Amino acid sequence: MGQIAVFIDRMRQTIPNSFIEKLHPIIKEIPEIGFISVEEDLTSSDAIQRMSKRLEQGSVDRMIIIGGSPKNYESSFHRFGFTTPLNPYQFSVANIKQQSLWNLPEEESLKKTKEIILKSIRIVSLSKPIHTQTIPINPEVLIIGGGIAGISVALALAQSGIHVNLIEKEKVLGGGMNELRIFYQDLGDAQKWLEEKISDVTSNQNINLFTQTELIYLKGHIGRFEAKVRKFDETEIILHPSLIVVATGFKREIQREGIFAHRRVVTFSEIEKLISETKAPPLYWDGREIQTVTFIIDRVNEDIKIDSINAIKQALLLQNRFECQVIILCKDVKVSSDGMERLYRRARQEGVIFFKYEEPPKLSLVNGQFQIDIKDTSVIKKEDQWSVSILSDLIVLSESFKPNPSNEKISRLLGIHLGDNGFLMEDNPQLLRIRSNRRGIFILGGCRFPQTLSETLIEGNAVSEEVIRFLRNGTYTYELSVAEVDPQKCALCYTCPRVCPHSAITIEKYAERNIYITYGIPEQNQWPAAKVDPAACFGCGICVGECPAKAITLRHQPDELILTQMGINYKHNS
Amino acid sequence: MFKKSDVVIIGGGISGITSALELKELGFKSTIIEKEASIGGLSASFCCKASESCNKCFSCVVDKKIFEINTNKINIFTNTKPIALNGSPGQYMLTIKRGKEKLQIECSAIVIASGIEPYDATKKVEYGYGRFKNVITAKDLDEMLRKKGTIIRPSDGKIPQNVAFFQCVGSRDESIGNLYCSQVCCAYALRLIKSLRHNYPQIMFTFLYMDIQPAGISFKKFLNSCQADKGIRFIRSLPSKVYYSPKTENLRVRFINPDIGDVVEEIFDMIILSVGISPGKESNQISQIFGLSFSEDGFLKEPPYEKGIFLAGACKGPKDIERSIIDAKSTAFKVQNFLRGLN
Amino acid sequence: MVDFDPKIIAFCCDQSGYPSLDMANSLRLNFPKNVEIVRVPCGGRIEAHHLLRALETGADGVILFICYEENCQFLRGNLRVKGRILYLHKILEKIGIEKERIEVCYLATNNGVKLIEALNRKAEELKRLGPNPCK
Repeated sequence: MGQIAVFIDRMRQTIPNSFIEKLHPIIKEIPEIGFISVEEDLTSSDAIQRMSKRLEQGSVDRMIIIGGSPKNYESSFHRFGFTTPLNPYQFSVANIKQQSLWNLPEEESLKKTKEIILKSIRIVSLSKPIHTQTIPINPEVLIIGGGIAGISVALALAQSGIHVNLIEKEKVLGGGMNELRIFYQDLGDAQKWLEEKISDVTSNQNINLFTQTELIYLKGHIGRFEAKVRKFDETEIILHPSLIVVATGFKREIQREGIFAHRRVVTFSEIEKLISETKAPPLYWDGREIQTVTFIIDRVNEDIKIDSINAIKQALLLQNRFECQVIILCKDVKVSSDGMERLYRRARQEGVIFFKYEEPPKLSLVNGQFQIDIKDTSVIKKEDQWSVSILSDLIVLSESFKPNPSNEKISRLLGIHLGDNGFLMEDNPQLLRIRSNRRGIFILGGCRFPQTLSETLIEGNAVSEEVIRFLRNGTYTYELSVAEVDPQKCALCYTCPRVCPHSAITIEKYAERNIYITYGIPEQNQWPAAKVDPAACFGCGICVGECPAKAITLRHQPDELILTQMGINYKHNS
Repeated sequence: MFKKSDVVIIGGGISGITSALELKELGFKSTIIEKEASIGGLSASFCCKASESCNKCFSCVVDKKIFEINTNKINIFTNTKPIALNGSPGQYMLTIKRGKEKLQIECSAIVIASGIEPYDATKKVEYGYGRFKNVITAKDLDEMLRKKGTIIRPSDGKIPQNVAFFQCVGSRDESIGNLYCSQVCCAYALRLIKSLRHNYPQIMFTFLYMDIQPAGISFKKFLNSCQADKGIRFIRSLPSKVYYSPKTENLRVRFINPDIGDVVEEIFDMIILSVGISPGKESNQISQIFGLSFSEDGFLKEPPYEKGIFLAGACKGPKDIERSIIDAKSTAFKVQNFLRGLN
Repeated sequence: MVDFDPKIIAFCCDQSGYPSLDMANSLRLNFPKNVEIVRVPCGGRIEAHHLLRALETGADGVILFICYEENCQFLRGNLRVKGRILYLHKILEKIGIEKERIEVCYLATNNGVKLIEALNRKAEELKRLGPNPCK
């Protein structure tokens, strides 16, 4: 072991010189100290340059910084650290700007500072170097799901020269957007726009489209996935993507019970089709001329605004183009989308009537027309809150949005989490919406939660950006600050693959050298043990804690590090 | 003085910061121009609104991003504003000003992430903001919680017992000409209420609203837990007037109570106004300098792709932190397409 | 009730506890005396035996500052350590040590004020409970 360099950061003079003079004798007592250097502001770029020049002189192989919070120094040191002979993991920070040390009388604060410095020195003496590893990463991506989310990512990536394999379960692309005919923003033709996109996909050289194809098997980790897909004619192909994008969408379901099974109770998709296919009034459904239409929303899907947006858009068109009288019954008018409040006001100006209900409306059939009984809650006086009866030709009901039934299978095959409502991935803000728990697998769009088209398109761009970030250089470099299983100690209890939140552990037959645990055993003596893939591991240490045999270690976070920080064993032993 | 940068980002809030970090990962050099003395923008003053578990307010993500950018050595000019743009798409020359000093930056693309302002609640005269001490905005409350850790009445420093939240202040309001929904205030106010209920179970809250707008994927569970809480009263009615008592410094609020079915007046000891989102004060200047137009609601409109000027975040339209981050990533993608197209 | 400065070991996770600690330091808030800080990458790294050793080697109390549920950077770390703490509480009950000596406090990145309040509250509580019986 070489010597330890000590850099003292005065943090722009917030640590008084007199204090630092008193620290010098404490530090000089320790034999392994190479040199001590005092800087005014160690986070500035000239200080860092001076630091790296002194380190290059070669007599020290580890260092400590006495100054403020480690978080201030770590990332800048990590960035240049790999270029000096000093490994960035062989450094530790003695944070003396903590715990109101400034408030204590000088003797006490010196004592405490000495403890902190001694702890840091022990930590850095125990530290071991951590290296980096680079794997080649081919510009090939697998997109599961050919709805508008999958299509937009495929086109964005293909445009950047990335080779895309797009697999879709059905015969046609488009997914849920096949039901959308009219955009709410400008009432334009949504199907024409979608057809253009689909034709772009089918004609793009960089996109391999597989319809009626499903994923049946996946193994591997980021950069080297191996995916087996089965086509409609039962043939199986093996693909080797570096990254995977899941865009399987959601499902619409309608409960047709009792009066809701009537022919003149229609869904949003049916009304959308009717509106876009009828050229001029009057509107006909089931052989009957439609004059009054009632929308009942928020019976299911209370927390989703898509229904509200569709209802207001369709109501405006029915009232305006087809001279119907439209009534919308809802719990809340959800206009939290760009331009929706104006559309809502326009609908009201055109004559659409809105009722907000708390108790669900009662439906009955009277002389061939629907009668909907609802309380008019918009009046002030309680005695004026009459029951209103609406006679309607047509009732439009929202379908409920359900998770895609294949989500469970996808979650199992890909090792990604299922949220408690059946959609993919839990709602954790740290995931920033588009990431899954596995490095290299992204999710977007309706499979995570039903959302509007414009939000899905923005997510599509964000996913494309993250994918391009990975694939930019042709290689992926990561630090080996990861967990490692000692195959000799592993008891094959299968605990760690189940607890790893990032699905980075698999059981394999291997006996070759790990990164740091060296066994050099010849190939014949292979045995099954748990293996952590270093590219997929995030270094959280959960498996280390759960392993009953203590077979897993985090090289940069050993138990001694924790015990030393607790105040055990840090008194210097030579 | 002359500097070169691939991209210049106007605005150092969460959208500007995210765009800069993403562009750096994509291999482009960015420079952030921020008009205030420190970066972080509006969302940096937000506090964590967790109750027994995370309520997805994203304020911790903002702090993490700010930390990331401070340690990533991206050029940031604070106390600086843009004043003129010359050149052509792909070869812009931007003049910026800091105090008396002027500087020119040569860049290939520009990202406008100038953000938004909370609606100026003094304009809603009937609510008494600025005149009555115990009427504050939700943003004031957020800052108070972040810095002091507790909710107190400005008049006497005591913890209130009976607090009212007024929603839609400055949004969906024809009388002031704001015909848009600010989209974020319902969830924002409810998160504040839930977190305060958790820390101060003795405070009673009254939530006066028009419609509840959903936000995020766990909203249903969240809303159900708020509605099940006996300490939060949901009243679908926006108040008409607030009266102030100089003696008790309490407030009397006049509104329609739909349960009773009549106009009522109730006493509260503190009122929080959920102010909506307004276009940033600098939008006019920015639109002039960069040649941008406005949408119907007064927010900036994205110019044609060929111009090489892109918009990120809430300056385009109301967004919460989550959507601003995703939007900034989406903008970074468009910018990198543009820059690669130039080569 | 002897007047003493209880020794508290505070485990701070790198995503929430430690940044909150930095925020408390920069706001110059007052810490109780005799606190040791242990920095871990995630709450999930903290094992039951670390906490037991803390009590064994003279700490009066242990407090864990970890992320809120559904806010862990590594997704499940805080749930794992919660499970371990429940198990530990059972053990403590069996060996006659008060459960309050090991406590979990949930934080986010910017909860500097809450961290100090929790530490001060813990110090008060430990003063009432008295020094660690296994010292």
